[in-house]
Amino acid sequence: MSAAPPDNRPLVIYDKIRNAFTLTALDRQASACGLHTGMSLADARAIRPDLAAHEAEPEADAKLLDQIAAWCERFTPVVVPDPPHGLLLNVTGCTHLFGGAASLVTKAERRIKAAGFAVRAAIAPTPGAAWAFSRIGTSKIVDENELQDRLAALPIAALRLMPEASALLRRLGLKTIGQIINAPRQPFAARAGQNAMLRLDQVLGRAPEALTPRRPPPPLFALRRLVEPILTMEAILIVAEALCTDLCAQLDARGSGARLLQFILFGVDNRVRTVQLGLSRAECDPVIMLRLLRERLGVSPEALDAEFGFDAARLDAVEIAQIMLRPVDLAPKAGRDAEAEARLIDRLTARLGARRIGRPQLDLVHAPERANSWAAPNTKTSEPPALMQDGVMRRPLRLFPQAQPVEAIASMPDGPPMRFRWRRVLHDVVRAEGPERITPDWLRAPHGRARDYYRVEDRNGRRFWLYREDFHDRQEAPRWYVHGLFA
Amino acid sequence: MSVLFAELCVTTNFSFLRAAAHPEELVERAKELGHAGVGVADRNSLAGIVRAHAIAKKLNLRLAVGVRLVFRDATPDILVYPKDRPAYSRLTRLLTLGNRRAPKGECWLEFIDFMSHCEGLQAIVTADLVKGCLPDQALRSCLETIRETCGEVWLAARFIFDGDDRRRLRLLKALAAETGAKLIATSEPLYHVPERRALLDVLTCVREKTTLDAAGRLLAANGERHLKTADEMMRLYRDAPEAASETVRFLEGAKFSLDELSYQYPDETVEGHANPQAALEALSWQGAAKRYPDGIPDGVCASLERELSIVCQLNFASYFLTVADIVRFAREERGILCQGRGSAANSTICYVLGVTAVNPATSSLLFDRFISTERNEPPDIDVDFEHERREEVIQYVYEKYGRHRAALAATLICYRGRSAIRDVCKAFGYSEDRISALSKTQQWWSKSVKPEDLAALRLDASDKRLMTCLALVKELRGFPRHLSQHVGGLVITRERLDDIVPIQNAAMEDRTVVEWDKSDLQELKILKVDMLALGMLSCLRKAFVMIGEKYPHWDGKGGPLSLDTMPKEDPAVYDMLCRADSVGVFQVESRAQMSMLPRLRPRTFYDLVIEVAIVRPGPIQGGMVHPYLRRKQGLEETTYPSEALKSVLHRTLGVPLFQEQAMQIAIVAAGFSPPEADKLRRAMATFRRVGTIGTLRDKFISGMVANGYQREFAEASFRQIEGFGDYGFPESHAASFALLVYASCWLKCHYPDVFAAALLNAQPMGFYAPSEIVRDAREHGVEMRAPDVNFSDWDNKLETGPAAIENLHPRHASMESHVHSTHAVRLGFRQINGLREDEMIRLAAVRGRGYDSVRDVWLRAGLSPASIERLADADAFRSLGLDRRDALWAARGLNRVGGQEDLPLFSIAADPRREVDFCLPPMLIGEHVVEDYRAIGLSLKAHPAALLRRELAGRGVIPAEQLDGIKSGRNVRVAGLVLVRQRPGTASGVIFMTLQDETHIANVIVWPKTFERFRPEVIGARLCAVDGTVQSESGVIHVIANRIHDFTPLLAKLSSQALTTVLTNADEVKRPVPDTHKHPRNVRHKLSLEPAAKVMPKGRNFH
Repeated sequence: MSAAPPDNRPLVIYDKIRNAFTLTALDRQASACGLHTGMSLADARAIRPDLAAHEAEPEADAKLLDQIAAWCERFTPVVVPDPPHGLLLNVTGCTHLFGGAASLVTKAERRIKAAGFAVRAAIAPTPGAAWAFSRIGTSKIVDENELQDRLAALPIAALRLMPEASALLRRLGLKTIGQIINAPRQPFAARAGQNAMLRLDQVLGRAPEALTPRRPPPPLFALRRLVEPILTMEAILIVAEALCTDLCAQLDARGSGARLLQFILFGVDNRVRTVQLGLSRAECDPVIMLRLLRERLGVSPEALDAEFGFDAARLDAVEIAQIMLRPVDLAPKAGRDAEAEARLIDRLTARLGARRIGRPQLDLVHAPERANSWAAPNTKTSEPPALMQDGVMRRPLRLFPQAQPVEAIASMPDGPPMRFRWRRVLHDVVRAEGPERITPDWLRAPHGRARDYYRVEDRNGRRFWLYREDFHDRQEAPRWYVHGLFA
Repeated sequence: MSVLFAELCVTTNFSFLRAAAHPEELVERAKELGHAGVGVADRNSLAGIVRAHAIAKKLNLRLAVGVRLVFRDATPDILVYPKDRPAYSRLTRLLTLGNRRAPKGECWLEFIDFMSHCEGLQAIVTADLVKGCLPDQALRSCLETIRETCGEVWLAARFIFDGDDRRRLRLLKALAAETGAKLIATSEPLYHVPERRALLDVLTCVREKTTLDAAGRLLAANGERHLKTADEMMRLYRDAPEAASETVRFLEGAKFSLDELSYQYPDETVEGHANPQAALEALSWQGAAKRYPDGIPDGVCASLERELSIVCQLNFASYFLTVADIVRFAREERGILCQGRGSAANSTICYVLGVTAVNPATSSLLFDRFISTERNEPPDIDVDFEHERREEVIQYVYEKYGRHRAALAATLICYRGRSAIRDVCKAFGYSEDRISALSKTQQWWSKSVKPEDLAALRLDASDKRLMTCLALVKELRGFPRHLSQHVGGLVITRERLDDIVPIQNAAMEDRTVVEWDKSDLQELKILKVDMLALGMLSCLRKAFVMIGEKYPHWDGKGGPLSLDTMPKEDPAVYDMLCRADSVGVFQVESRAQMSMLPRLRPRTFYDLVIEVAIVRPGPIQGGMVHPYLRRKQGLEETTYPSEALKSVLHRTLGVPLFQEQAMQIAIVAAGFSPPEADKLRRAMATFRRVGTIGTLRDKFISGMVANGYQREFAEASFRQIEGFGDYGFPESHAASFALLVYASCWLKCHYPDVFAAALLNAQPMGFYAPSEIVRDAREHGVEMRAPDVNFSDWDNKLETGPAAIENLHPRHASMESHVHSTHAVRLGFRQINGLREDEMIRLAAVRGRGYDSVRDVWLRAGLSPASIERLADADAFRSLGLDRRDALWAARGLNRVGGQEDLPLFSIAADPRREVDFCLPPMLIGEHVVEDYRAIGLSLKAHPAALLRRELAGRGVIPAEQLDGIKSGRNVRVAGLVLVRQRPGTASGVIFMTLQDETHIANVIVWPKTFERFRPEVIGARLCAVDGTVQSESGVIHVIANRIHDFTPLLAKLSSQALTTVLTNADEVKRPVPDTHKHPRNVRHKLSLEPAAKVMPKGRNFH
């Protein structure tokens, strides 16, 4: 079944919650036919047998949310993902860049909606209040003065309470924030819990709320919002120059230089392109910075894939350091250094492209031709097989990609070859061991032929790995192949 | 031709998930291939050996009984075969030892355990020399130790086509020479034919919890682990011919056969009697004299004599004495109600011993159904006990015979449709979604899968992978999956039980289980007693006790009420049943039964027997119901196909309704012998239909034709009999149940208060949730009182109250002179969700003159704050003047302001009375009702429908009680909470729904077509409205649904009025933002604000 939502069947997402498949999300159609989250998948299926159901992929969801969070960094570097489907943006001091709070909300909503998502946004003085207004009610922008009044009308659910606490409040008949806003602190906290009290304080701004942005904000950054989307490399470099100048001025003021730069381009198509630039020493010269940046962009301009153009750009100084000279380690440690290996892989990947490099890997399957493959370079290596206890090699040193047909004489039904001709040379077998019978995977090749492998040694001491291929009904004479060489 | 080989290392699918063939298949194949015999050895288990034994005996093939011992230490697997009976017992003890110290399903053994039990066992040591391994010192010393102790030891040389076979053979030959072991040839088969390799791979994936694509080398490289011909084995072992011929010598040594078990039932000694038979005879005649104080009828005398002689002949006397003793213990020592059921009720001995309660003088019994000399099978006595107290009886049996002589029988859990689909699909890596789609295909798998069926499920018949998967599912069906404990079958032996069969731990504590299931035990003629649990017996006993306490003069004399002293054939009871007033009574409370009652109009006990038996899939599918009803109502003449059959069928007006009658037709009309008839009955059993049914059918029909019956009639009769299978009741069983039907009806009729309280105390059982039981009791005039900390006990109890006749609903006016209740029912704490029995018993015990505050309850009863909260949720503080909300506020404050320990010294500082007051909003009645439902599943304050009545009336809904006055054919709209949805397998997709409003219940019939249109409403609605046509037939009123509406959202009005008034501009809460995009990851979660709907009963579903 394909992952795409099919025709017009209601669509739900389910997850295993306490050992039962439970709906965790549904589309409008599913909702219209009476399904709701928290219902068991079996119940939902009883109601709509044609239901299209997909298992939840929390990791993919988180990844998608993170991706959306990345777009939102165009508005502020402090973006806090609030799983499963919320984002908190600290826009303090950023609104003026977008023409005020109202315009910022509209822009953010429009942009995410255009990408095909349902979205609701609100700006409020506290994270808790922004959370509440974005989900419940119609207020989009709430300022300090009206916060308390507007909150009072919202239901308790807007408080982000623990389920037990909100259940308790509901049981006590306390349904709106207004009913508890002036509750006597001590008795209230004693019953609803300290956490509920804290949540109430946080939403009202009586207590601070610590937020962890998706990535630590850079110590310094420069941001440009562009009126017209830019497409060409020249235009990008012009913006880059402005940003370099901007950033270097800030660095200079601190007497620092950047060790690691990140140049971020925000696309009209909501994709974010990031170019990292490591500097061997702390740098605060805009000219050098721009030159390195130009080189870096020059290596992989296609990676930028401008397509619809960019409408914002940011240059972060991710690592900064005091400007000073440092001695170089002239005698690096010997041996396998995982970090060095990772760096090598990164460098090779940057040069050659991810598809061109791989790591050989042993696959635990019976078919010899499928037993090794190339894995992505950063997968963990499987341990190389230990040497057999009896010192006998079961697999040849060299395996031919294609088994080569030979003519052979052998005793039936499962005797080893006595003599065979390979590449026009006749080999007399003096020693042989086998057969090792490998029948093909019945699922992949239901009518595949069985092979009997033999390890043989000829008169000259050369060792071969041969096999006989049997026909299913054994009507036809078997065929022989050499598949590898031991020495 | 002399056969020179026997495969000795066969693993069957009783080594769960490790082999891919049934024991029967393997043994049959070994015979076909010309083996001299076969040795079956499963992993630490003898679970499959009886099946292998049965088939080997049938095919006359030598079977060596063995076990593959798998150790926890580094010892290689050792296959052991006992030479004789004592050695076998040592083996079963060894396995018992390993089982008993391991958790269920595992067996922990070490080499020293084996060494202490190895005398008389022939041992084959397997050497796992694959992938270049060399024999090590441990293997050498293992071989030597066994050889020194047992005299001989064998070393398995396997030939498995891994390329190293000959190299390994040489190594093992050398090792054997060095250690004095003898080499023995084997291919270590895991299946009988190479084609099963695929299934083995699937099983491997199930075991390793992986998929076929990911399993890699866990799967087999080839399909060589099958049974090979003797000639082929000789050829493979041409380098070591002695290894092949050794198998035959080995087989000669492993002489033990399961036939030697000569199982012996414990001798029951009864003081003063020479032997069990004498004791049984004496007890039987004593019992008979007690049963018939006015003299034993001649017929009973004759059958008792006949039965006793058969029992004597078959030597079953001890067994009867055991059952009699168990019943005696339960009844006399513990006062536990019990009653035999099933075929045992065909026995006069069982009746006079008090095991069963069906009087043989008043019904016709078919003793052959129970025991026959020809069948030579052990009898099977099933006894029902009160469900809450059965464990006491089981523990008594353990105690009396000792855990070494008694254990529960096993039940073999096999792959059925759904589980097979699930596991195979998982191995194929299919998604949950596809698995559940495929699960729907299971019903037509007994036939073949048609492409259009697949298309209907959006599955592609040309998908080869899928088709392979389906084929494997089919193969897997019937495979054993694991052993579980039988519901109540106890095996008892004279000698140590673990001398006969390994015993293992059950999942439940204090239970032990043997490895054999019912059919295995039967095969070896091992007796068992079935001790089953029945909720209605608990209910009745509780009711009898209450009658004794509250109505000691119920009979005007002050005697105790019991099943025996209850007045028989009370017309008031039958009047009540004819009105289908049967909520809560035994068996006849389902919808189908209820609509049958007014048509059947039972007036005598025998009518009840028929009522119980007739609403069963057997008679319904056999098309017997309507002919019987027509004849009963006098609309059709009663005729008999022949004079001979009249004697069989006259009690049921010429229509066969009982299993015995089906058997008797076969005997009387088709000329079957009684054992043949019994074979026919077994062949009918739906599961594992065997091929014999065809020949039996021919015999049946030709027999009847030969006896002068019409062929059409013969065929129709056979079809009818076919309908029975497992789904028809034997008359004896129906009669046993009918007794309980009568007893529960009698109580409901005369003492509805006692009946309701006892029924609630015996929950969960039966068809209806407590809310319906309570509603029904109130309708019968019983005052129901809410649970309260100052009045309630754990159980529901009776309090002095108004006489029920004062409040009798007009509907039941005819019962006025029969209802004697003068008590109200106080709901007990057991009705409240989540309370602990021990805490509540303490609360009631230290209550004294009553509690005066929540704090008082907390301090004196020492309850946990959580329990106090639960009590508050249930509104159980009313007698203190607190409603649930105030009580909850108080309860919540308890542990935060001074614990119990620091009182009274430090409490002053944090005196709860000095807290600032916080004014909680008052609770609406609707909110209370919702919370009542949440806490106790019902509300005595009001029915939700009553509170919504104005809303409902505005939508044209009429109260259910008005249905009584509406003519058939009129259209109405009714609404109520959905109590029950029933979709009987026999009703071709029709759904019966029961809706409850504040006035009555409405019975709704939903035809399949309507169901398809309103599926979400039927399944999902908790408050459901139905537009339908009234259908009234002999007092049974149904509403045939035309349209169905989900009124569940109305329930929100019960509690959210306050919210809507405050929250004027927050419409989005109730109407979340619609989704603009269909991709699931973008779907928003709703803010759930519908608690009212969630607490209402979901409706019980029955199939």
